[in-house]
Amino acid sequence: MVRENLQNWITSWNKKHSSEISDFKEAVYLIRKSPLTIVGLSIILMLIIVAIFAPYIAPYDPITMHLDNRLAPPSKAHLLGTDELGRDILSRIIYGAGIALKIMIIVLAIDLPLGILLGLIAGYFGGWIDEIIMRLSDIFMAFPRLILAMAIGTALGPNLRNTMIAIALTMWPVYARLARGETLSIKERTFIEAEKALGTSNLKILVFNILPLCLSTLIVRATLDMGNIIRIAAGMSFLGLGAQPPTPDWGLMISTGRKFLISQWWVPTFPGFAILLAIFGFNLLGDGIRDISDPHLRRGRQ
Amino acid sequence: MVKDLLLEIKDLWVNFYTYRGVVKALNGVNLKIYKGEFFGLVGETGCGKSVTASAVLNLVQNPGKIEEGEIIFKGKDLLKMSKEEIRDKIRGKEITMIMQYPVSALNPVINNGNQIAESLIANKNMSENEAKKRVIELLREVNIPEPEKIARQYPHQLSGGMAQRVMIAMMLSAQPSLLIADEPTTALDVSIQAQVLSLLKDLISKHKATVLLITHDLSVVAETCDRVGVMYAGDMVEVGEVDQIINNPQHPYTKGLINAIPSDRRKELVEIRGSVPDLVNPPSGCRFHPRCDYVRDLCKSEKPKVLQVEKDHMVACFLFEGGYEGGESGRTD
Amino acid sequence: MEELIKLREIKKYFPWKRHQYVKAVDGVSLQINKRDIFGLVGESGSGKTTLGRIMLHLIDSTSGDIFYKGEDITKIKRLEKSLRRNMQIVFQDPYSSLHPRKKIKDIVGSGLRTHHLVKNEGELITKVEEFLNLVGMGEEHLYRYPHELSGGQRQRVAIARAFILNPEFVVLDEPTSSLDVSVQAEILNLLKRLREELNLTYIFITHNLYLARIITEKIAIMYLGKIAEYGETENIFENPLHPYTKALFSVVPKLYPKKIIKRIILKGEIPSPINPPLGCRFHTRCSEKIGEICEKVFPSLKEIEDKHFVYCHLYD
Repeated sequence: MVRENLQNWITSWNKKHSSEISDFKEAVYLIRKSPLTIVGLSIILMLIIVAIFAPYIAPYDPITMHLDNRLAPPSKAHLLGTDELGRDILSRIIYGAGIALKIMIIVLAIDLPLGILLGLIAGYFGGWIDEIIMRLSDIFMAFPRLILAMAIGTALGPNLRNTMIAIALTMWPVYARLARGETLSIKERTFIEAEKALGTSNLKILVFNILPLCLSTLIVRATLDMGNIIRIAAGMSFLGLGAQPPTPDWGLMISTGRKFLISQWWVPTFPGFAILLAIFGFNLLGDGIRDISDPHLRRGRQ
Repeated sequence: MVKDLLLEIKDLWVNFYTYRGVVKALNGVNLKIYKGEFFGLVGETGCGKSVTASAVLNLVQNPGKIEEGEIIFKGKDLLKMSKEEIRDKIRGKEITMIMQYPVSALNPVINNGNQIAESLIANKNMSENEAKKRVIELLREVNIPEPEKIARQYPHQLSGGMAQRVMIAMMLSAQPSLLIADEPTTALDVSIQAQVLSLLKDLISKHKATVLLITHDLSVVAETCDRVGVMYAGDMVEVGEVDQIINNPQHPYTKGLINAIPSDRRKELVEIRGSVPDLVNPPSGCRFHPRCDYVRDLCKSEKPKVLQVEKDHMVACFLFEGGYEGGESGRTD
Repeated sequence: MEELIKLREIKKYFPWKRHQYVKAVDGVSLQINKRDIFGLVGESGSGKTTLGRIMLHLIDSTSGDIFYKGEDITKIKRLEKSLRRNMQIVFQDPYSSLHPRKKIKDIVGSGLRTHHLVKNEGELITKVEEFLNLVGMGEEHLYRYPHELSGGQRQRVAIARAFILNPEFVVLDEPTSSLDVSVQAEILNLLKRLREELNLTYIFITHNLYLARIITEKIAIMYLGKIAEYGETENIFENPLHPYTKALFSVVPKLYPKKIIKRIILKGEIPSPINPPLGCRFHTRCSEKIGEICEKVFPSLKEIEDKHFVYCHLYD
């Protein structure tokens, strides 16, 4: 009896969502066709797993110093060697993954909603509110990103939390403009006029009709920006504005390990590779997602 | 009077290889166009009329592929010609094409006069001055008022009707043997449409060109064309002179189409039941059979042969056992 | 005959560049009664589409008055929901009038939610199914997306969406122009049937004269933002009065061309609505122009036969 109910429920769910299911299958098919996207996806998945399971994977504690074993070259005990305070580099890199991802997620968690909100309002209502939001975004966009982030970071005080705020503040205008641009073109389309004729309120039009259509462009842009965020965060930490010792932040590791580049190359190099790999992975993934979104949408529309 | 054959399409098969499957767009299409005539190719969306036109100029784009068939133009098979030959001798010279949205076919950064002049200089080896003079003549021929002014203007400044006339002028400059017009007036207002069509007719008789008009509007064909071919889902279902097709339609689809068109003789529109088939899985046998009121078992399994109804009037339908097989070679003059 | 909508000297000017206006509608007065099937016929630039939107209060008019059942609704900024419900529209292009990411049930049911006509999802589905069936579609389409449907099916969905609110009148803005001929016949027959069953008033906008004849009972011929002629459809077809109407009849491609009738090929282009000709708007292309009066003075309304009105100096 219960099994029958469950089966019925499954069949009806399948029927109701058959379109989404076939879209999903198509997306998977497209991903499988693009080897680079698979590479990117694998790298990122690996990063996520490493970040989540860091305490179980890392062979050593990342913070505890072992001054008797400083600057040891890569060996069986320490696969990537130890740094100037005797800490295992591999373990630090593993924990660093979590930090990098955390920064990225928090920045996007601030910027995407903020940008979308401001962009939708500016695009839909126009007039003075559009002007204000656009001029505000102009101010933030007038400065090169890293410089602005540095300035804000310095002003707020050098720590990881302020780095995230600083980076978020430099990036929101991009999302706001993107959302505004999408809104401007979408609001002219006939189905929006149809909603107005049906009596739908502006709020509902924005949230249920315009927003879902903006999302794909914004998400694609966000995935393309993921690598950038990591890069800028690493840069900030490198300059001492971000994570503070003893946090196992990759940028910080390069900064403190810089002076050992010639003789004990492993100290700054491996963190550098980690950043490289992460950015590479996100870029591939971002490109892949962008490629999937575009022709997929076109095909769907016939 | 024996008419000269200008273009003959024999057994043309075209497929499109898409994500969803193979779209069997053209199902063995046969067509004959004679010199000096105004031929209308009529059909609804997906019938394959535009694909047929693209095939003539060998412009069938990926994922489309011409599988089989011959397109014989002035005695030579266009499908066997090299790409260079088609590009240098045929396209834009012997066979030209105008399309539905002329403004997008024109180069937006070159003024109208220069665009026409360019093709004259390149193809007819005229000097710049000769070309400029000829451009003004051509614009005048297509009834463009103030041709000097229009020549200096840019495409985006032209209205739909004017732009189409500029296109016609450009196509005429090449003095083609065959002009293909793919829905040239669909996007134009009715009063402008009448102007452009009447212009085409005049020019055809003056320049002794031949026109293949592609449209979904049977009324346009009724007013302008000499002969008509009706297409449905990749098949040529009926061909004949305009009077014959309009007043004595034989194929159930043709009849259905005529009954569905608002006209001064009709107070009620009669629907054709069912809908246009998916060409990835087209119906077996006669592709129209699921919607046909006269369907018989034979129609579901075999593709109908072309039978002759009366002189110059062919139909592909099993309803005509009386007529003899043969296609148009069976006709006598 | 109960008056439903009355328009008095409606003008709609869209600002265009500096100090210039597109005079889309330039002084139109009309009355639509309950249960009319009223046609607005014209080419591009005639203003018929804009006029339809103004009747629905989707666009504000620049000047003039609109009366709905006797009440002046010109100045109302946002129609109250109950009024909005009564006036619906079916758009021309079924490919852009449905939200590409919404399921059919949500598209058709949107108005039901807004006007609180259903209490829960279950009721919504029942009602949507009912109207899908009414327009000839099955419940298998409920969870589909627009891109999975053909043009004709999409237009049926658009019709269901508008009609499910039980409106008093529906503006049909070229509802079949984007569709194939055979599909057009289906949709038109559907619309005729629904009008009988649901007792609706239609405002049917089209550029196709013969289409108008098949479905409308009254018709107004528009040119460059003004009405040229209006009255009962049969009268206008039997006895066209305005030179533009006559030319239009002559120039429309006919399935059974009458080779005897001389075709009045209209000279010139349709003038731009930014600088429409003064006086009678049609004088620049009129073959029956009288003289200066046509160039300077816009003709006043004349009733020639019962309920057959024309704006033309030939009938002064």
